[in-house]
Amino acid sequence: MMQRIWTLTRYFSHRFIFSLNGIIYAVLALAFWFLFFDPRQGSPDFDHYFFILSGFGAGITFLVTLTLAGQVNRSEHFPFLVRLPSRVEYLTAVFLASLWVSILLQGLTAVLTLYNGPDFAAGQWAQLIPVWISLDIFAVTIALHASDFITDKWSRVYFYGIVAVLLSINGTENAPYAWLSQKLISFSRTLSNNGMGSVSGSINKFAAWMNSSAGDTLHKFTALIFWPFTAIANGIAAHHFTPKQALAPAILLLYAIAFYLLATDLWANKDVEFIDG
Amino acid sequence: MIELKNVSKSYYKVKAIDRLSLTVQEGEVLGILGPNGAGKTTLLKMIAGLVQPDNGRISPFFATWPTIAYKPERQLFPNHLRIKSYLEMIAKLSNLNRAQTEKEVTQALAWTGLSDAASKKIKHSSKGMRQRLGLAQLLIGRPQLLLLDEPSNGLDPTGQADIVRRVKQLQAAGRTILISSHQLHEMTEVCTRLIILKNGRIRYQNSMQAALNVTAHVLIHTDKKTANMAAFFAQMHPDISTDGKTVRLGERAFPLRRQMMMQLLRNGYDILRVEHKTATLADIYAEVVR
Repeated sequence: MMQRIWTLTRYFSHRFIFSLNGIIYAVLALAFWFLFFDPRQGSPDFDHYFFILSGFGAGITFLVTLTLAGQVNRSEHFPFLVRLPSRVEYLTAVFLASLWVSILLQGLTAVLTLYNGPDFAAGQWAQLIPVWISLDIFAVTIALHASDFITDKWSRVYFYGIVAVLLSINGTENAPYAWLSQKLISFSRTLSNNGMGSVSGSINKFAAWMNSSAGDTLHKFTALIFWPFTAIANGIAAHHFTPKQALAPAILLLYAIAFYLLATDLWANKDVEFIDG
Repeated sequence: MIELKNVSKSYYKVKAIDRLSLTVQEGEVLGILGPNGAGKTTLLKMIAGLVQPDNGRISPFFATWPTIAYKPERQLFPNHLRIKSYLEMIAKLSNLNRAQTEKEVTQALAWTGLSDAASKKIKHSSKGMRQRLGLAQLLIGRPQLLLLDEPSNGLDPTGQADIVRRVKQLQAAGRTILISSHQLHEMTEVCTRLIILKNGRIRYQNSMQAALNVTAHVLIHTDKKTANMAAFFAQMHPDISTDGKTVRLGERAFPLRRQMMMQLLRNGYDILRVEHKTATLADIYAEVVR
């Protein structure tokens, strides 16, 4: 199994790096370095370096994964796929190749930035590497769900729909809940006027809960979900990670595992319709 | 070796495969015929595990892995690779070690006549070479089941004959092959069994030999219309019929042919020509898909 996954990973990475896409991404990485880290400056400020390159890493990983997933989703790969005892081997190779190419691009930018001499202590590197790696792995897994390669029927809409709902709940105050509560109350009155008293009562109770504590409860829930991101941002801003914040990359990896398992399930059960071209 | 039981597959509201049951035995070369949209490619893709059936069960009975090699209808290749590198890649995916890879790739190249072009990039290869490369990849790792979707599509007559010759060699080597094609003469030559699909269902299945023999017949061409003899012939044997100046004897009426010709001569008919015809696959196909 390892030989097959390794063979495909090497093939996909090689193919990506030496394609026009690979060249464009390399140029993009160089442009990013030039814009955000002036080559004439000395060693960059650690927080700036850490924060900017974390964001850059996650972003470029997402894009690289999308592009690579497009490249592997072509009908020239049918003969490869039918040779594998399990389709998951193919997906694993796509995952590893995306991660490898992304780390290469992020590493290139990170090394170029330190051209004028790194000035970081070993402890700072120990903070930086787990955060970068976990963010990159996370970005690969969510990008897979955005690609045609993994998407099965409406799965992409459901996946990103749920993420969008959670993000919007996390970012809103109480106002929408009060508005929604008013709408539910008027709906329950209509039901009550039509002789559906029991249903109307339940809706009324739900509307009251929504008006009083829904916003707070849902906000706490989504804050818990997005905690790893907040913890990493806070850790970088405070120049050090508390023991609790240091767990954030591990939690992020757990998310990535869950998304990867979801991707394997979708991929293993979908009809493979590679495209010509 | 492989068994499909009540397998169905729909794309939106269109039934590509409808409650299809089929068993393929080891060493068999099964030809799959049918008009466009009959479900041939979907059937091959389901057996290859690329498409999941909505209902039913597909049971492959393979002793060893790798089990399946597949040649799609319109086979595309990673054009940046060289011919030999492509086959080496397939070998690695079939878990062959370095020595086995070298041996099998060399054999596959020799078998398809691509040895001299081994170091050529695929993008610089002709269509015929690509078709042969598609066949060469089937051999690597000695998979037990070969799925060929329209292998000679778009080739000139020489290329088609070449494909037929190579499929025959694979058949002689005992491979189990499922082949879908619109080239009826090619199917007649290589297949041991035949199914004809229409609207996702098997409308006809038989061994190739039986299919071609069962509809053998004799045509007797006369100088006059034979309609007034029709009742007499029908009484002689139900497998005798008339059509204009021609009398047709089905296979079961063969023993009566001398007696029948004597009867025609006695009744003043001249026999202009006698034809012993075996049915072609085209006849069977036309009859089934009509």
